[in-house]
Amino acid sequence: MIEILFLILAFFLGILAGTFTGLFPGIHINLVAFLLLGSAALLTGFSPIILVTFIVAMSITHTFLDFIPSIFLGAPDEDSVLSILPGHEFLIKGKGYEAIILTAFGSLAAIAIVLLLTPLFIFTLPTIYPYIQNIMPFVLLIASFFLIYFEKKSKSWAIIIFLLAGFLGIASLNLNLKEPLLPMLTGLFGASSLITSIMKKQTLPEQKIETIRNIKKELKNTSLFRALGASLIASPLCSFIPALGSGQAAVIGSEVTGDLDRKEFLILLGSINTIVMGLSFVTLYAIGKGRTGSAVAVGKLISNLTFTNLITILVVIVLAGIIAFFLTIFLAKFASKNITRIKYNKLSIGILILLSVLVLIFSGFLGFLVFVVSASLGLVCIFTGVRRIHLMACLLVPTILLYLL
Amino acid sequence: MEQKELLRISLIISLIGIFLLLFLAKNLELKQINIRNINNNLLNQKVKIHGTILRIIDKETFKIFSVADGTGKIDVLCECKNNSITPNQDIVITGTVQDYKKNFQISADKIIRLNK
Repeated sequence: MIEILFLILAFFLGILAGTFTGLFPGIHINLVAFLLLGSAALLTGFSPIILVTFIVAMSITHTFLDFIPSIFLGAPDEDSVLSILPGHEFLIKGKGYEAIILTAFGSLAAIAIVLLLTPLFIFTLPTIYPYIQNIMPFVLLIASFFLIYFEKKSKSWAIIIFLLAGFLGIASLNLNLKEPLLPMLTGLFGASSLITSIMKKQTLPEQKIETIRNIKKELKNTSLFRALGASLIASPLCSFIPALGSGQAAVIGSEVTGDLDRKEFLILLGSINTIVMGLSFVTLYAIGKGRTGSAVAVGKLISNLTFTNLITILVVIVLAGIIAFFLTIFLAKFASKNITRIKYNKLSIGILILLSVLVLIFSGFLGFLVFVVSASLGLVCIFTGVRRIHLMACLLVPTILLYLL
Repeated sequence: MEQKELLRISLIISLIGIFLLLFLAKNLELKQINIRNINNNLLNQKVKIHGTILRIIDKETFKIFSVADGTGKIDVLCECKNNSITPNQDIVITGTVQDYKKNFQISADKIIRLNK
């Protein structure tokens, strides 16, 4: 009985923590999951499934809410980075709320897709994964090739940025930094967007708050299906292939299904983010490999997940998803009402300072150097106008080398 | 400032910065630590230890060295084919701290023999 009470408590605390990590720019769920693991010695009295419940609830909630800072503040993490461009377009037209609701639609639909794909993963992944593992570096090389091939603006700049990000990743991951991803990804995606916002002296118009029914009515009948079809194609791959994240899945998915409009792309991003997270726990059960920081943390708490553990995790995913959907609506409404009350430029400067302080605290001075260099490379990408997904070579290239060398 | 000018400045900072980081990654020496001081804070971090090999377990694809330094003992995993490392040798190991069944172990990147 007490264990069930602790389980419920862990679930709600997880949602609270996911709300915090989702809304706070620069705080990634991986960080919280690993802080939790670091303090596991203090939590030995609790059954591991309670801690797992906390991590799963937090991670799913995070995938719903991380679009709020990404769209309103231009401060994303690596999973929501692609939402900046379409999201920002909506924001400067006073439709920031609608952009967030579209990602929330995608995330909610993703919960059903996770449930649908779970049996498929359990039955097929153990058989096909060993073959995929043998060709993994080539799969990653082909994925990299396609990301550059699909670049519409300038392929030569895309190659230069891809290579520079690759070298940046190799250097940063070999510097023995604590939390090396924090300065690198925050610099590449967060700081660079904030610096451009500050330079443009961006001001925001009054944000319109449409009813959910109206937002749904304005969507084309096929939009939801096109977006979800694209995520169904791309996200399973990214759930078990290392270094391919939500961003790459979105690009691959949208290229495969043909040009998606802005609204469909936002739904796609929301769904992929949640599918990749949800399926990473299923992958952990099926082949024992965690492809997200949260799944790795769960794997460390319970080395061999049982079927009962998996069912508990799936129940937590569904419940956390439903609560997170309504939380997203509530918080997006709050943000839309209040974002114009604050000076956007000052807010951007404040967030940039905050991110710098967080990097200094978690990764030290060397981490700060990585942050500055990453922000510069992020700016190169913004100024050249090529897709920022090429910056993810900072993870792709080191992973390819790890398999090849 | 023109966008072209800003692009040039960002590109120069990126290039110099990446070269500097690559140089630091190659040349920054790790501080040697005692086995006793390996804790959760060092999980997934690179460390350098100096100790004596107590015994060697030969698995098919890797070896496990049990290493002691006077402050403690730890298992070191090495995917090495080289058979020149034997018990009672003094070695310096650089590797990553990992957690295996609630015990710390080091996955070795580099092993230097101090006596032959």
